[in-house]
Amino acid sequence: MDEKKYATLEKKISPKPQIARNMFTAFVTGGTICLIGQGISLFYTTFFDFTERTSSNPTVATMIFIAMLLTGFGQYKKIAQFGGAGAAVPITGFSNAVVSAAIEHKSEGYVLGVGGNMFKLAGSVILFGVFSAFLVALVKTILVKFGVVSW
Amino acid sequence: MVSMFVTAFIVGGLICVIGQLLFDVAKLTPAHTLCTLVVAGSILDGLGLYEPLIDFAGAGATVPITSFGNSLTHGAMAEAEKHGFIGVLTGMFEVTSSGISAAILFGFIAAIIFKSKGKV
Amino acid sequence: MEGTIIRKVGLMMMSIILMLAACGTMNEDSIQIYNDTDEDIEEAKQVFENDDRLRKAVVVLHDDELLAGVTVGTFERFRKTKIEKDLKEKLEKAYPEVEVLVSADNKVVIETKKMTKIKDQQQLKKEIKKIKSLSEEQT
Repeated sequence: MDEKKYATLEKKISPKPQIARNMFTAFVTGGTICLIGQGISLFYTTFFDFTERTSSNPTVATMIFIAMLLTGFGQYKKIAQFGGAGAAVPITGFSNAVVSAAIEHKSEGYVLGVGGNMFKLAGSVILFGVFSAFLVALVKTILVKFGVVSW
Repeated sequence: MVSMFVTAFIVGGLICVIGQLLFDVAKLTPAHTLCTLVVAGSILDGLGLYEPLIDFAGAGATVPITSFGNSLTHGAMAEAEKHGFIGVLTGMFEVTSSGISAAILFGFIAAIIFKSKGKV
Repeated sequence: MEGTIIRKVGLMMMSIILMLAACGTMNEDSIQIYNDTDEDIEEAKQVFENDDRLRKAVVVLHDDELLAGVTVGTFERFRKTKIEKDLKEKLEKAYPEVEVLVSADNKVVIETKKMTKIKDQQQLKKEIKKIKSLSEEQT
């Protein structure tokens, strides 16, 4: 059958995602991960010399570490299955992608396997992050030079 | 104190709901969604809206991937304020270094320690 | 199968919210000022009392340095930096020879409160310097 017929057939048969339920689980999972992050941030603020603003650095590093442990023991995929975007959007999802790619390609050796494949997902994120940051900062600097906005 | 936790939960959950909508309604892949959110965080910081959100929600705004775009842009703008155009390049990874270094480092350590699971 | 997961999560959420609510409100004085110079603290008190965006304020006035830690209400946190700047301007107008630092950061509030109990002059000066440099940090 031709493409159009196949497309309409595929649309009819494939199961529809339950949007409302997915939104609820994403909200709960994402909120819980951020809640844990807030607790860790509070820990760093109270016992170490970090202000609220600078505590985001060690908090992010700690959450990446926790996500590494969960991924290594195979537990993160259960959270991801339940939460969907709620487990992929926080920094733990980023860490999970990097760590699981690294573990998976270990058999190909460290240089080519781990090193070459670790940045499958992270690469695009870093690329677009840097690019958009560059554009935004450039536009703002130009606008400031023309006196349209101030810093 | 308690209000910090409530706002962190709500704002973090909302950002993830936006990600979920990008998954389900716009039918983007996880890579596309994350890139979109990073760019969104970057633009919000250019408009000066993301820092107040961090003040309001604390970890609810620094834990999602959008904060990555925000810190890249924030570093770039802070250096550009001091050094002009070249600051856009030099300042970018100043604030973000912990996130990326940690991800790379722990990824490698995990590859050394853990065994591949293998089964689907 | 999925219904039980959602039920468990819902139950966990309810218990978390109940626990948080049970922590209750904290019972503190709204403004604490520690002053060992001969400056008049009435103006500082007025500045903080008139601003109803603040919930608490702790002020330490020592030598020629003023350190103020304030706590803002939940929804005013969006304008945290603007509030800090406003208060700093008002305080600098009231005390022109004093170096003023206002911070709405939780850490600064906690440390300033600890400082009101220190009696030793040298240690007080060191602590003030440490807090001031902490809040200048960017990363």
